[in-house]
Amino acid sequence: MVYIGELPLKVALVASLLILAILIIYPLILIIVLGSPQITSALSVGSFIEAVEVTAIMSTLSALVAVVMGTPLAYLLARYEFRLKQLLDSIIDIPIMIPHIIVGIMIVLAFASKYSVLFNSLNAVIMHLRAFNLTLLHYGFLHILLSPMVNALIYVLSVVVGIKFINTLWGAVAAVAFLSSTYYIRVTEAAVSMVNPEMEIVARTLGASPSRVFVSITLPKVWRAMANGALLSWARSVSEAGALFIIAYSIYFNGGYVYPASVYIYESYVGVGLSNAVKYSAALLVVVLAIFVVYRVILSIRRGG
Amino acid sequence: MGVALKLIDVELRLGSFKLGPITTSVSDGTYNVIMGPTGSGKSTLIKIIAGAYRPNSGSVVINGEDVTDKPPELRGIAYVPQGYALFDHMTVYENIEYGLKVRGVPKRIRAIEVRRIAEDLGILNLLNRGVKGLSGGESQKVALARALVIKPKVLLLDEPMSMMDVSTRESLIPLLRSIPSKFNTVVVHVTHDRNEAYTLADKILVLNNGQLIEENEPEAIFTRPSRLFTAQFVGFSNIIPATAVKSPQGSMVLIGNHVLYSTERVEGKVYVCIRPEWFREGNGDEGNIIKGVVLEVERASMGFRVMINVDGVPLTAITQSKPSKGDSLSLTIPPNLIHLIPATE
Repeated sequence: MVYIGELPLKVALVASLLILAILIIYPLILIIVLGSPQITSALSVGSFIEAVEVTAIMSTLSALVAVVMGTPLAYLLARYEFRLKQLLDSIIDIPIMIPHIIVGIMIVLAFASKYSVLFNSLNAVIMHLRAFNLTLLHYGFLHILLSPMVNALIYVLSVVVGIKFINTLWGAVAAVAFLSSTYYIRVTEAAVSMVNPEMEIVARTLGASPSRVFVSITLPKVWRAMANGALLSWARSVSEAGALFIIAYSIYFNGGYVYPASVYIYESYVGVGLSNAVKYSAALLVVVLAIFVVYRVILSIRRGG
Repeated sequence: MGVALKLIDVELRLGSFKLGPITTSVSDGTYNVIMGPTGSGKSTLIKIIAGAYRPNSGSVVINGEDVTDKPPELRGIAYVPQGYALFDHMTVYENIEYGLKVRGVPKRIRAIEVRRIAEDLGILNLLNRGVKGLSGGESQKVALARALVIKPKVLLLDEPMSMMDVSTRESLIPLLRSIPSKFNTVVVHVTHDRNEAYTLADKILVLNNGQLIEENEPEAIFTRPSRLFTAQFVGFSNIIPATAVKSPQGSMVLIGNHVLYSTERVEGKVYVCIRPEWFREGNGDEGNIIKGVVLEVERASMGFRVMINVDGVPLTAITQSKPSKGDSLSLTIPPNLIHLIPATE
């Protein structure tokens, strides 16, 4: 029996599969097929291994930033209604809407330029603290009491101000965390909103504190989604290039400067040619897919098969 | 009997909805039912007591202690929400044990307490099972065990029987009814089901549009409601506006061309409220006699639901015999069963 509307549905399905095949599957297969004979050779190049290493470290740190910063935010968005929720909701989506080159410029501006309000303010605070410390010299007992604390504060602030962002892991992590945290927050928010809030209320009435409720009731239900969100965020960081062009074209790592993997591939494409770029691209793809598969296997083992 | 729970001018705004101000109290060892239609604010009120919502103003006092600013875990209450919210990543045993565990009760004591409450509620055989796949009745017993094992001062139940079939519901009523005396607690139960409220309650609180309409014993609420809304909600199908004048035995009102006597002393504009099941067929020796023409007949669980036209006023009665459309019908209603509510609203 043929239902009305079945034919248009089939046509739409075939069309979407065709577009999927042309846009995603075909280029993916092509790069793996063409690049696979040279994957071993790519993985034996020391500079490329270093690039993959620094990219993995940068992406992992970025995923950690996303988890630490994003979990409370995701919980807040999923559970509470408040006055500025719409605004916060929009702010979280901003990173995926801004061109990535601009994100790089923003990070430079905010943390590594003379326009950095944050760092200029911290420098001003340090100067005032030093002046205060000098004044304390006139007050014997107060000086003995307060001076160590003021010095410690000056030291901590100086360390913060001293952090370099251009061509460092810090800068690279700041840029990719900015761009990839949204994915983690959205996945986690969706997972938390799926947990029946009545369970949390019941647990509270039974005597559990909010943190105990999160650990014993919410977390067991959302940790897989959190792990998937972190993986998504990690993968997004690995693939980042635009912002890194500005803030960390090469990263100071292990006593030398190392290209992040995406920049490394770009350099090989521009400097040597397409076939060279295909080699490293296929190698990076295999490494990322291997990590992805291993991660998923670990998650499924934790789930109990 | 002491006061176990007291609400003083409790008020909460949630968007455009406003609850309260509500002032009421419930006594130790009693079963209290908050009854009202969907959206009346019943669940919101119970969540204020639970501490899930903080009122904009007013106080919640439990056992003499103002707990308005206390979080749920420090209020000495237990809450069973609609749908029970069992922790579905835990077994039945772990669900019941949860409250004791988070309170730091030693494992050995926990095991004894869990088994004791499970035995009391007849769910010992379920302890090792997961909660997925439990029937409605079993889920409710597990939720009750989880709540009661911590010995709450106040047990809050939000529509606990709304997800059950009739037979399961009937089988659980004795269990619920026994909770205040057996577990030495106060129950506050929320429902939109008037029969459930009548069966269980020592006291009924009627809520509508966020306001506490009235509160009283079930008999009073169901036979002598003081507010028009309550009369409509508890099943007074016949509510007729009229004017009452004093009579030697109470008051009299005119319905169509019939003068009806009531034992209640009310004067002026009133609503004449008569439950359909209070009419008797035929011309009784005592009481008001009403004659009318049958308009509609429907089958009802207790007989037939008959709508009659009494001089242009439609009345509904439950009869044992089945009249036909167009038949003349005589009904008797004693003066003490004609309830008059002053028409102030």
